[in-house]
Amino acid sequence: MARLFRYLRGLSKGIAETALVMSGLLVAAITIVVAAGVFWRYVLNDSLSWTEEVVRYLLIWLAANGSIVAMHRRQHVAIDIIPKMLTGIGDRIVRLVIALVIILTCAVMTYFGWATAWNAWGQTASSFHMPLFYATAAIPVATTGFLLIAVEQALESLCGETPIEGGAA
Amino acid sequence: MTPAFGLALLLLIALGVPVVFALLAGPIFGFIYDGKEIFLQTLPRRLYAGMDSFPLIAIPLFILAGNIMNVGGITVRLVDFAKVLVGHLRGGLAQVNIVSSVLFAGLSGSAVADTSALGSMLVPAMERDGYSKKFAVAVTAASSIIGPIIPPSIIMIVYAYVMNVSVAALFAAGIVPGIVMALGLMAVTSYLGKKREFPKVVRRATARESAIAFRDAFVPLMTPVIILGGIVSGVFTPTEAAGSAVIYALLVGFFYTKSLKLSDLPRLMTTTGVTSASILIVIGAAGAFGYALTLSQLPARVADLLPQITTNLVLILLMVNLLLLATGMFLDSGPAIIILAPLLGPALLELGVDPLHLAAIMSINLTIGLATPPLGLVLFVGSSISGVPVATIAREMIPYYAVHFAVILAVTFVPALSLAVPRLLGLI
Repeated sequence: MARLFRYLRGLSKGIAETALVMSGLLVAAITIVVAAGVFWRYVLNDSLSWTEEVVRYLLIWLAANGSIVAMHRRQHVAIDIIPKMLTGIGDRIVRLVIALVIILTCAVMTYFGWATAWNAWGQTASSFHMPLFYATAAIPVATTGFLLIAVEQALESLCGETPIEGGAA
Repeated sequence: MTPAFGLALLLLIALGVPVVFALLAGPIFGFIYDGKEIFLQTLPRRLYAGMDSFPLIAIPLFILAGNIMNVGGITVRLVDFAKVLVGHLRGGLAQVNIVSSVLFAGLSGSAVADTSALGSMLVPAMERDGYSKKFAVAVTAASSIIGPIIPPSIIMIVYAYVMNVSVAALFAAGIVPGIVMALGLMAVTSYLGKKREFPKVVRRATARESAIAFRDAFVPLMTPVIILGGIVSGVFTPTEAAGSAVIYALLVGFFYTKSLKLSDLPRLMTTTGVTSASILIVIGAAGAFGYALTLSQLPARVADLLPQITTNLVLILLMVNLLLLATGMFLDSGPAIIILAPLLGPALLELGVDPLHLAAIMSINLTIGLATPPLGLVLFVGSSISGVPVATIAREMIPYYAVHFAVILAVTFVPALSLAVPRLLGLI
């Protein structure tokens, strides 16, 4: 199990580092597209029809990538009074239960998320011909990432490893 | 959907499950409990639809604009400008801290950004000037919550989105309460200053020094004019205003203050990305939660229940405020709005509370929760930049909490405080 844990730790670190780079690029892309929309609309008096839709898809992908990083750094908003009060075995049990809740939730979301995304393959975005799959897939991609990281964090509590505060990414 | 799903959700949050997963796990539990597993497949779509919105794009853009201005040397200029305005009063630097928060509030929509930016600059300066460190942090934290009250404001964008009110009107509603709060904090500071004999700067800035400080701060101070003027006049959507604020901040940082470097950009982008994504994903999960909430008819039950307890609107609003304060003490303002607004909103609107007034009460109240123990984000940031324990900062803040609570009560019972400006501008 310790080997699986080390493998998963490496994997989730890799995922988080990739997601971090993606988040930065997506913020840049969102800024550029919104600015282009403003420029065309107010300066050139010629509204670009596609900007609003594109930037909405970019936002969903930003939410997916950035929250994977936040998951890896344990930065998602939570009330951590109970875990902080406990030490030793109690702390490990609570952390394990929390990780299990996340695993179950994300397993459901991932399963149905991929199903939803595949269903969207035939549908295309309204202002240009992109299968909606490329937008809806952001949800299962995010929950798959959460799932892997949550399994790593569950194993961490099981093996009694110390949590990496702040994460590596 | 069983109303017990709400209970499951609260238990999970209390246990320490991150809010985003509790918001999803609650409905999953509810569907399985009711034997309606067929509905589970709707949840990913709800999560997606919850974030698929043009107005929400303003969130990463406003956060980015704030981050850029911080690195771009704009904060220093704002503080210098605040110094010539109020630096000569007793407790000069404490007053400067408060006024800087007001100026900063027009550029940034987050109290945490305010605390870290102004705190890391003003706390050491106040210490050198003879203030205790714990007091310096307390003033910073107490005034930083003006940030999300005076527009732009992330929390107000979230509220406007969840409850379908106008962002422009809600932004306008925050202006007067924010200024009233600043004046209240300054009055308390000046009282404490006399009692505790705070240092007083003897020399007042000369006209020439004032003019220089004003000139240096003028370009950055145009940001709120662009943002607010653009949104309120209806020229810009909030998202377009936020995008323009980013471009403006970049231009100012690169070419005017020249403190921004190209190599700063990757870190600014990634920090912004992670911060805004963790807000966005909770808003998305709120889509799934809101769906379950409607199915469970919980808001309707609250609306039925509330008039049975009392029909006295004053009492009801007081109770709501207490509930909001208690929630705000434990939960960050965004998630708290997402959970409470759809639950309480319908009942209060039915009782005749103006939607915009309710929006102002909720946003301002939950913002104050950012600076209250045990889990106020602003206190944690203040503690981490200064090394002063959270409990010590909170004790030192007691006189300021009095101002915060007074402002909540005033906003609650004097609707004109929040509604006059939006009315004047023709937004409602």
